[in-house]
Amino acid sequence: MSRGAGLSLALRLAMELVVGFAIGIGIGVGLDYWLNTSPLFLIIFFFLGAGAGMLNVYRVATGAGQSIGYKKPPPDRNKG
Amino acid sequence: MAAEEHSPLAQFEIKPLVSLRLGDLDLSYTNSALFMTIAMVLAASFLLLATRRSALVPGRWQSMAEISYEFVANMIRDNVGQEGRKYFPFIFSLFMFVLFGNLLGMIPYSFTYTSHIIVTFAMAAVVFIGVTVIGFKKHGLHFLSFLMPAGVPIFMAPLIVPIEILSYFTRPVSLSLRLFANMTAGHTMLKVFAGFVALLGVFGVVPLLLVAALTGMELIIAFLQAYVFTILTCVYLNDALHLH
Amino acid sequence: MPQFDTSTFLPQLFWLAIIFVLLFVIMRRHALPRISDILEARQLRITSDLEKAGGLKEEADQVMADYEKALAETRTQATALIKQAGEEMAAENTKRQQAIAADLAAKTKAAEARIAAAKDEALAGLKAVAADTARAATAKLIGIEPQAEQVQQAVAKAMGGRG
Repeated sequence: MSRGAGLSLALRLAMELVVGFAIGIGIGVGLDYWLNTSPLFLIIFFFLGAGAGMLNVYRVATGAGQSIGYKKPPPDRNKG
Repeated sequence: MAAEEHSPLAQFEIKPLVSLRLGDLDLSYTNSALFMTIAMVLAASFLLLATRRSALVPGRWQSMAEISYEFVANMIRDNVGQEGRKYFPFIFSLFMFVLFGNLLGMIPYSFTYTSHIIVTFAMAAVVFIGVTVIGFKKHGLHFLSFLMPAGVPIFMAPLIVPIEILSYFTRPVSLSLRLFANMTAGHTMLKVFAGFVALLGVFGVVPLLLVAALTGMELIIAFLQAYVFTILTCVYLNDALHLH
Repeated sequence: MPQFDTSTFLPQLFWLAIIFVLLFVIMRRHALPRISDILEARQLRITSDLEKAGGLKEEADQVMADYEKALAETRTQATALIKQAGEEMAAENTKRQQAIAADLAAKTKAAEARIAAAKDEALAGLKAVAADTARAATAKLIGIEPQAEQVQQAVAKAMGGRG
């Protein structure tokens, strides 16, 4: 793996993590705003978002790509 | 005003060219729309003019058109399979639209519509919603089974299902954010270094070389991001068509 | 950042939808069918060319087989001819040898006959000489000249079976 490819993978992993957090926090804040339960849903969805972000990172890092589930894709699809 | 013009972010500004209002809605034809139009016209005329003569032995332009066709067709065949053929026109249009948008942005003083989050997000959202609809159409409610991966114990469901749903919803965001961030960062960086060239005068040779190298890298990224956007669309489509 | 100015969202989305749909329609209706037609035509052409080449090869193989067959036939024919010629020659030889042998036998016979004739003649001559000699000797010895027939008979008697 060249340095550029490694850097782009690192950026991609960081982005996956941040997006997971961001979506979780966004949904939590939205639900709190709607249901007036601040900060209950923010806290719940912060952790769920963290989980989703780490799950995404795990999938990218293990080469499972963006596919659903934890199985590795068939070898002919590894190009993506 | 002058400072504003030289800001590296000035290139991303939307300027209405033809003001158009529908009641309270602003539907102005902007520089963004202009470059979308240019990309559309360029992509269409490239493919139509290149294949005008339908030569059995292709010329340079025709073989370029054929290569782009087969590039996307292979991507779909490798990532989705035979069932993906139905969606080929859409995926091909998407690839061409993103690629031409990225490449047009390389021209100095032009506008890059793929560096606007709303544009990339709209495309990612269309892909996301379309893929979800296809999944439900094909598998019915069984499509929801992807929320509970095989081999996970049932007591984990209250934790896993929300996480999987969130993970599913991060797809359009990370898809659009990736394209947006790459194009914005690349173009801002180019603009900053180009500003150094102008600022340093004779000594601007060093940043000039850097700008040349960056431009080359940006060209690769322009293509790569179009490729990534398209291939992730294929991967999502494959997930919806063939549940794991 | 200008990208987060929400007032620009609506016009961008509006034109994005119009332009992308337009691009999609052009691709779907015109550009892509044309390219796929070209690729299909080429594939068809390649397939038919391959078929044609296959046919030609078959033909060439046929011609080659025919040639080989003709060659083999000619070869057997030539062998037969050589054999026949050999046999003919052998027959001729035998015949000639037989002819020579017959000729030789005939010549031998003729020579033998000639020798026998000469012997007879010589014997006959000997008888006459012996008779003459006997008459002359008788006349000289006893002064009587015997009759020729008597002498001859006597000589024949004396010579007996010899001669």
